Amino acid sequence: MSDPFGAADQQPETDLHLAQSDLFDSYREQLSVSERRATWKAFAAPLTSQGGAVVENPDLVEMAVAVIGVFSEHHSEHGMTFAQIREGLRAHGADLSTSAIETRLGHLHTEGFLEPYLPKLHQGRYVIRPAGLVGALAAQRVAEHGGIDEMVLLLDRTQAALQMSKPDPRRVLNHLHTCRFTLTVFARDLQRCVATGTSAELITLGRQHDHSGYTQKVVDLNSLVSLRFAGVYELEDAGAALIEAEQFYRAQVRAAIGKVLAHGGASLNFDVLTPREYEDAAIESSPDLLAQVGTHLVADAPEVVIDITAMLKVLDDYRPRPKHRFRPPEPPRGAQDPDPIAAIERAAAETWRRRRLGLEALLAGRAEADLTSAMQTSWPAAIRVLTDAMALDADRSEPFVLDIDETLLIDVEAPVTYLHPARLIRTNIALTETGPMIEHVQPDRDGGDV
Amino acid sequence: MSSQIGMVAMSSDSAFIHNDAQPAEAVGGSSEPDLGALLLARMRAGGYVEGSIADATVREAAIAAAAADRRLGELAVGNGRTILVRGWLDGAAPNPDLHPSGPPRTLSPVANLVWSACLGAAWPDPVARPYPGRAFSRSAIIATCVALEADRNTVVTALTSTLPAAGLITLNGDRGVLGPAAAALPATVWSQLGRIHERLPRAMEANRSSNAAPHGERESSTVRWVDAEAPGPRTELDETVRKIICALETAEGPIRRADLPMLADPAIRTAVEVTLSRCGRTLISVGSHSWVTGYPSAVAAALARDGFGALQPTERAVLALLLLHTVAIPRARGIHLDDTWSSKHPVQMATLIANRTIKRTVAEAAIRGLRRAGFVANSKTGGYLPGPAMLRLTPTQRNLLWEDLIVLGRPNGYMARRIRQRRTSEPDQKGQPPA
Repeated sequence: MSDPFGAADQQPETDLHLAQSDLFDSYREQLSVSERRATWKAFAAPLTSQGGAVVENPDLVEMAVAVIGVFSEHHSEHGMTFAQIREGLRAHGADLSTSAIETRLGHLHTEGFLEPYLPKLHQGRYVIRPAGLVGALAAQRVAEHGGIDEMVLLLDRTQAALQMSKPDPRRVLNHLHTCRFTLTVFARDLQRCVATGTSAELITLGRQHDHSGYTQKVVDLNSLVSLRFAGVYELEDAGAALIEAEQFYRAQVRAAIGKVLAHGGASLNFDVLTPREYEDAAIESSPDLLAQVGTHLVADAPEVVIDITAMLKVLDDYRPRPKHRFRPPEPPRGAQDPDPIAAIERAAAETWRRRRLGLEALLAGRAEADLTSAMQTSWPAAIRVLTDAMALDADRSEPFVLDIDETLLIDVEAPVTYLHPARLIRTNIALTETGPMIEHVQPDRDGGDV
Repeated sequence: MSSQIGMVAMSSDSAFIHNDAQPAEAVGGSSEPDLGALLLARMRAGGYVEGSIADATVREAAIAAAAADRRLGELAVGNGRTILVRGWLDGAAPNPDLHPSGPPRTLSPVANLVWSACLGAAWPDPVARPYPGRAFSRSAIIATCVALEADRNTVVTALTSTLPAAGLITLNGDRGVLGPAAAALPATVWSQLGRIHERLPRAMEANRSSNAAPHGERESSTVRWVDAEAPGPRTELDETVRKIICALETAEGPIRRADLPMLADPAIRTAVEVTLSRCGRTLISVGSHSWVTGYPSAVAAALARDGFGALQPTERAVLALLLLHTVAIPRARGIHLDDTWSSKHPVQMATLIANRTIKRTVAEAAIRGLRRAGFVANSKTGGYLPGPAMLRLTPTQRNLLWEDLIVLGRPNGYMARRIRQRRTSEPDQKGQPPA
């Protein structure tokens, strides 16, 4: 019997196992909760006495596997307390509430998964019973691969029994029968799914049964039976029956894959592989492998149509750039054009003129006037008189000097409650009369700070 | 510019075509496609066909093409070489504004500018025959367009890639002349170009160009159109079929069914399918909303087997990466649930070359080639997407491409081996060449 799929089975098993173990994580992510629970229910049926005994939440099974990891990393020689296990689970990233973990640990203790380090009541320190460890790992494996691994395991056990120095014929016969039964059950399940299953179910099954080297193992096993038990017809018959079962199983796998290929291509269903596999292919594939894609593709671009309207638009849009930069022409000066700077200058001159006229009015033709009475009328008047006088005093071109006395006048009843007396002096007339006063004020003006 | 002649004199010892014509009905089936249809498909894939072709095949192809408003012509391209080109029947030409959902493929603005500059340099006299025209300098064309404020890199791309790929010009080093596609332009287009002749940009380096021109100047020539059998009076059905095929064949991508309501009529659709099959094409429904044309599987397989229009290995490698990132991975994550090879998830160049075996320069060159072939398009938001040619695949071709990616994703899996086994044992079932 030859492998119908040719030389790919000759791949080193170590590489295949590594690649498959990487893929299991992706498979687990894609398996739905209901799928996993259905598998576990079937797996646990021989062991349970009541319906509904299998957990609803797959995370609880993952927790049991995590408990194994917690124990493997803890260095205590006398077991672990529930609190230590709980902390370890948190460190492992267990996403369950404290009460759920407590309840689950209590259940594991009750069922014997965790047993006391010493057979004493309220001892409080626990270790894992090895059978529980195997059960947790088996539960995880059966959910991931649908139990296909057991077929390989059975073949390995049969091969190991045959390779003993003195193989027991009865034991080998039992193993061969078990292998055949297992294969037949898996093949019948595949046959049923091919007939009635949906594409998604077939894709899941296709993934689970996509394991390499199985055919070669069966062939090797049959050769070994013929070698070790030549002439023992009962065993040779069992070996031949196993090969027939394997052929039947292989035919069902092919039918399932054929149906997936027939349906998947039409709908471009890429669920047949995991996203991780496509990502790995995009990163790691060699150019030769990548170039095997699309060998049937042929260039199919329509010819270019010359659009004269588009050409004209382009010729309008693209203009030659001038070689020299020219200053834009000045706008024409018209009488009606507003000149903002002249307007500002006019406003400033008008303000100056208003101030000067105001102070002239206070002087009333005299060379000097006391501003105190004018300032005492109201705060706005005081401010206006002072700012006008100070502005004109600061301007060297204006013939006004402001003299502010240091004396402070305070009157709580007056409109302006406090002020310094101030005098305004005109400097361009009667210099002889106001000379001393000018000399008194001039240093302030030279300093420019009045 | 065209001149009707009798039959194109071509030898019949072609390596490509070696049998008498087969019934047109065979196209699209599992048997070897019709030779005339295959010839037209080759012209679609490569723009023109060079080499000796049997008279009967050319005649058959010309008759089939005439039913779709096309005609075949012989064009002398120098050095004693003759090629077969496709043109439009008098009075027929695609209308750029007819179907908004599927406009014809036109040049981009800068490519139009470069084409105008090439035309202005190669065709100084509007009365003279334009093909192949006066030789022009590549650098002069670039200088002319850059002086018109066009981006230099875009100009270079248009001059060295877009226009030669469209067959409008032929570049040989720094020298260029008009290409075979220019020679086959409809007479109405040339008369329009003649009217805007004075507006065409003139080369900036006129001296250099005029000095270079006499060297290697080719004698002007025109397309000698093959005289197909005189068709009978056209019926309304004929006109409708011609318009539909013209729109579908020149459209950049699919055309909405609402724009082609005539195809809802079974009689018209059948007539379109028969006419297309004789031209080496087939009608394809994109989803339930659009129509497009493509190669029948048998024709595509024959073209790929003979290397006509087939992608280069590096182009296929880059296309595989692009399809993995834009289609396979999003769909495997359940993000994108369309049933066509289209995608809304563009991929960047940096992501493509995350595969260290593909160098950036190789990937960029491959992307340019894939874009010319229609298999890659630029995304408006940046990056690359599957191009309109991906929508022109028949269901069989789509399935083959899907299988290719499955094999790539898990080369040693059962499915990959089953696919390889089936392709090896049943090469004709899906038009795939035997391994």
